[in-house]
Amino acid sequence: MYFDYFNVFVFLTTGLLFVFANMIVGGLVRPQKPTPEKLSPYECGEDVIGDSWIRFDIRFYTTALIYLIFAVEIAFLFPWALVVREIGMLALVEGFTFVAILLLGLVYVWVKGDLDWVKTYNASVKGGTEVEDRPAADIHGGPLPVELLQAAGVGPTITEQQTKGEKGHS
Amino acid sequence: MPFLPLIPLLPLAGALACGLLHLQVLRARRHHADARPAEGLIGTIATLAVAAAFALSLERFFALAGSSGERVLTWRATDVWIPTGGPAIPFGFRFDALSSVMCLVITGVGALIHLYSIGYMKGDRGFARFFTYLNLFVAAMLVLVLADSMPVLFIGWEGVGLCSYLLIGFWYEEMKNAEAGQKAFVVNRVGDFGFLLAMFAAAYWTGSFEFTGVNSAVEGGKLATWQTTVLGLLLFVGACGKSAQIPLYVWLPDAMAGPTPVSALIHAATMVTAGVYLVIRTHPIFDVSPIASGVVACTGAATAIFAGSMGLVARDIKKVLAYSTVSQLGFLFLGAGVGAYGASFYHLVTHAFFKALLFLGAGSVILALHHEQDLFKMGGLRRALPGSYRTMWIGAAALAGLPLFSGFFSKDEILAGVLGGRPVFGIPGLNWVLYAVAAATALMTSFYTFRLIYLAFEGEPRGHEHPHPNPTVITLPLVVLAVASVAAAVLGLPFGISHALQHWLEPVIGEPQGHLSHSAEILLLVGSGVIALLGFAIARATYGGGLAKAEARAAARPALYNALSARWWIDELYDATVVRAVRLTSFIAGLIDAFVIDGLVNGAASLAKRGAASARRMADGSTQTYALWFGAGMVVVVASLVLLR
Amino acid sequence: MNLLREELSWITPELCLTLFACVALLVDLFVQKGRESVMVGFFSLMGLLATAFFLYRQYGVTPPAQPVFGCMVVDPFSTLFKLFAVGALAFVVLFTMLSRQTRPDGYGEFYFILLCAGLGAFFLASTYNLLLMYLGLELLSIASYILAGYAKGNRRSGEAAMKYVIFGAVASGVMLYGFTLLYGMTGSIDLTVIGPKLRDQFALDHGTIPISVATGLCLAGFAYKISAAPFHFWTPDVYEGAPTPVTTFLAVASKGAGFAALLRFLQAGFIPDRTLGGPEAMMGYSDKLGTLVAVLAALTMTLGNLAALGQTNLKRMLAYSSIAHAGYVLMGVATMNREGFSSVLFYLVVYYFMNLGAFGVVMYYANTTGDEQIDDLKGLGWRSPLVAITMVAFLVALVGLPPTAGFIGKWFLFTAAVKKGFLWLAVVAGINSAISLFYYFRVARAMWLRPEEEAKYATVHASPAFAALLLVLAVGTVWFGVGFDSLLRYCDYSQNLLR
Repeated sequence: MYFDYFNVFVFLTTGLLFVFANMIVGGLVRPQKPTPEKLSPYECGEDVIGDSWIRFDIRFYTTALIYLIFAVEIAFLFPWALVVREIGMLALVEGFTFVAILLLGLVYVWVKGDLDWVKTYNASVKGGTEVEDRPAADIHGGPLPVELLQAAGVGPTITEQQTKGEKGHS
Repeated sequence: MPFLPLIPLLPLAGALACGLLHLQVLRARRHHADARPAEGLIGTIATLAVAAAFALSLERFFALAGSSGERVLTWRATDVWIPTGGPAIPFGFRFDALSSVMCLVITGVGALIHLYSIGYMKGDRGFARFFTYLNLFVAAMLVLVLADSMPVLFIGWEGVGLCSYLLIGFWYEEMKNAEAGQKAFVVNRVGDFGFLLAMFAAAYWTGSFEFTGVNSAVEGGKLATWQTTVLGLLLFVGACGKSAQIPLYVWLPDAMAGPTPVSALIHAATMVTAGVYLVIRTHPIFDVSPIASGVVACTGAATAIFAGSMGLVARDIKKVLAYSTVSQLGFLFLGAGVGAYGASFYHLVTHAFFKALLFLGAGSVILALHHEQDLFKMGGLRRALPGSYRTMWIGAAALAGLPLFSGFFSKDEILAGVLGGRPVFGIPGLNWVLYAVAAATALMTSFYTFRLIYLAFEGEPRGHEHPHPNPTVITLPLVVLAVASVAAAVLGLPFGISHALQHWLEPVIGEPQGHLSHSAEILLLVGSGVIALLGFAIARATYGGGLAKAEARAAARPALYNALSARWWIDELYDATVVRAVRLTSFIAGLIDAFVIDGLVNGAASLAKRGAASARRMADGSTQTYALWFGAGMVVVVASLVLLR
Repeated sequence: MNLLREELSWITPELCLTLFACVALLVDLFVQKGRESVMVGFFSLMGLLATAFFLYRQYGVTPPAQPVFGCMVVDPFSTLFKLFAVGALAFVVLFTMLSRQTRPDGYGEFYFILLCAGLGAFFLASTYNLLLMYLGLELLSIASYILAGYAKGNRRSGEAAMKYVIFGAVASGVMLYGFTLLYGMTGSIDLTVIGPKLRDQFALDHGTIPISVATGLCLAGFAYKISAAPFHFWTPDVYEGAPTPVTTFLAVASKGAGFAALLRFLQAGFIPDRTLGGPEAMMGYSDKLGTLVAVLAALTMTLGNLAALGQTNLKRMLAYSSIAHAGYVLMGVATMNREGFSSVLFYLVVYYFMNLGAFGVVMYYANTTGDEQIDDLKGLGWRSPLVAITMVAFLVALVGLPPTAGFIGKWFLFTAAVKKGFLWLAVVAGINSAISLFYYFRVARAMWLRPEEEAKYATVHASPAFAALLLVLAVGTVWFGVGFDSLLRYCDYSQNLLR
């Protein structure tokens, strides 16, 4: 029931030793013949273009997020599938409820147009947002210019930009 | 006892009605800027509410007088108003000998002042607001005196404080009035703090919030002497704030910024006596602790003479009366401190009558002179305002203690009480010192009172030739109060001729302590009379001819008058002694004020300010700083749990 | 199966809330454009009403404590906090419907997230399982992050959300670490199991270092949630930046849920058994913990009050004021006994009324004028007397003066602290209350003591609905100052059954 703190300590030090010992031994043993190519950071096998500390378009995150949600859903459904027979009807209902709630979210995002790579901000999509007629009172500092948001890569992208293709961090 | 709660509820209802009418006026003003309140209606409602409370009090008073045994009427809304886990706080009223007289005084004088205010506040834009506050004040004051436990008393205590604040700053358009209100409020908070601590300490030590419980615990010797001393001193701090004693007296002179009826009702007759009432209510504590009662007596005496000396030189008619009030309150505490509770309470009642009378009279003068308050610009009002003159003369005689007026007997009883009462701090000799101080104060009182009368009413008019006469609503209360100022004497005549009040109060305050022999009593009585007459004579000699005439005579025959004129002599005496002493005192007081009191106050304020600045600076909006604090806080929390035992 | 069904019936309020959260989303999809606010808000309100109904039914039949699924418990304590959360949510929804600040960008989402946050608060209030407690906390927190940043395009709102996320992540990490340590020591995430095991450990006198580290970390996490110093720094920035209805939610419901979890946590593991008593070491540790909380309380109220003194923005001032109030409430927590905890419950209910009201007035004001400066309130008393009068009631209660509930609430906190022996804390709190008088009074002064002519904005009346809301809150604020018997009894009762 209690920690044997000495065990923890031994485990910790062993772990640390293992890491550093390997690095030190490796450094001692391996040959060192640097060339410029070897010293450059490796980025998808291509040459480095610009700084890596730029803002990524939020759309990548949206996509990643949706992937993640359903990946986790699968992770939940495996254990569920194992016991669903034992528990029976109730588990079945619960499982479907779970999936239904997730699906509801997906449908919502879909209908709202958040899954479109280029989101239309005019009223053509039901429930879309109108940036223009936002009352001035809600914004303490005044509305942020749309251009600024675009520059930051988080705002709506207008169609002309779309035709020129995506900014290059593919 | 369903009548009892009605006594404060009636004025409260009046306040509500007036408040609603005021709201109506405000609404009307949105459309017509000059909309006027229905003055007749409002004045009638407010006055009748208080008068009805008076009638009720009177009815209960006779019921009380007719009852046998302990002579107390009680009413309980609930025994457990606030359960505290410890002693529960009840909500109830207690109508006994002490509170019954207080109720009568409050509602009686209050009703007269309400009536007077109808005339005084005529045409004021805030007419309805004024009566709302005034009614509310009466309600709160009644709760204060009727309360049977300290928390309920505290409700009234805070209520009257609030109303006082609102009424001092009634004409808040002028900055100085608003500031005076704030000063009163803030100074009173200091006292309230003492009272709250006393309340908690009492409940903690005696296991009761009720006066009966606390008193019986103290009388039963359940508390150690140091505990009663602490308790008494804390209570006295509270009393000091409300009753304007040194060092918390500073707010009262400034409080004169309020309308004059307010000064009469709140700052002379009723609210400021709450401190004395509190001391008498909890008198067993002071009986047991010589230190606490000694502090009460000495503070009272010091306040009396200090404020009295200030009254000697004031030019503002209301300021003179204000200092006089502070001084007389000092008398009351002096009496309470030496155990002469009956005498003290007797003076409280007579003082309520004649000081209210004087204030109302002063108000009538001020009103007649279109809000002139400088005594040196008055003069010669005797013919123009005969009603005010006569009644104020009676009030002045009572305040000065001229023989056969009520103030004469009540003040004399306090003086006798000082000599015959318990030794202050347990040191018998000190009583003589206090007696000397009190006698000197009495002399000053008599002098400045008649100085006021002579400057205002005698001689030639100085600046205001045509005062306009006062209406009946203003003179009627003056007459009634003047009669009361004389008649109140029967409540306690010397030599056992009438000890009506003392007798009546015995269930609450017990038998008077210490007796003087008859011969000593006579001697004292004569002494008091002589002192009062002496003050009167000096005032008459100095100011009798009027300010201008005295100066003219002095100019015509400089040799004689420079040498002999009592006025010059007095003035030089002033310069040599009083004025210089006062200046010195005020200088020292100023230094103390500037460096100690202001230092404390400003120090606290600047500490708060600096603290506020640094507290704000801590939140500079930078996430890194926040994170640093977060981390540091976490480390400290964990470390303190791990390391501390 | 039947057993399951019966246990399910115990979480009908939670199920109902979830259902209506989903309904809110659906309604938003299908309702005609431009009418979302009304429709979605209406359905959210219906949901809250239904939830409240189920809660009320549970309140009627609850046995002392009904465990559900081995990780939650339905008892008067949780029911009180759930009702508290539902009430707060209802007011926030109403405020939102009447506010212009949250108008753009999809109502369905807003209400949906709000209801989800409420669900998180539900779990926090009723769980005794550390894992579920953490999940509830995260559900509440993540929803709050989004809500704080809801005014898209507003820099301050964005900043608020960002700061909130960062600190929330740190705090929940810290707390989770504390939970892990507890699990490591006792082998359980169930507080009802952890409690006795800790008691055994105390009895064996194995030293308290691991327990200290674990509780210290958990305490830091909780302190963050209830914005106690020195973990409070996010509060003013977030409260100021977030849209006012959201701020209201954060200040009232979120903080209340934090306190609920904190009380349950302390009660389960760190308070000696009432009947059996506990081992000596545990008593000592409990007292030590109490003293630490008392110090935090003093620090919190002092910092909050001092910083509030110099604020010019009404919302920011109220943010600091809510920090100070967290300090007062911690005073009751510091006692580590029944009386103190029940005074905490009482004060939270009081706090709910006066803060909802005060924030409501801020919202009315910001909506009609687009301004949140205290000085610009000049003359409000003459233009909108009703709003101003209710505001005065809330301010008086916030200062803690009679006859409002604020006074009674503080009274109980003070007595509890003094009885426990924290006289110094009561004195500090008294001084703090005096300080608070100044900045609250400034608001009243601006509203009333300046003539109407100085008013900065033209007359805008509060809509009848809004005025009615404020009036309800003001009546509550005053009512509990006088007739608090039944509430007090309920707080006492629910506290008694807490395990």
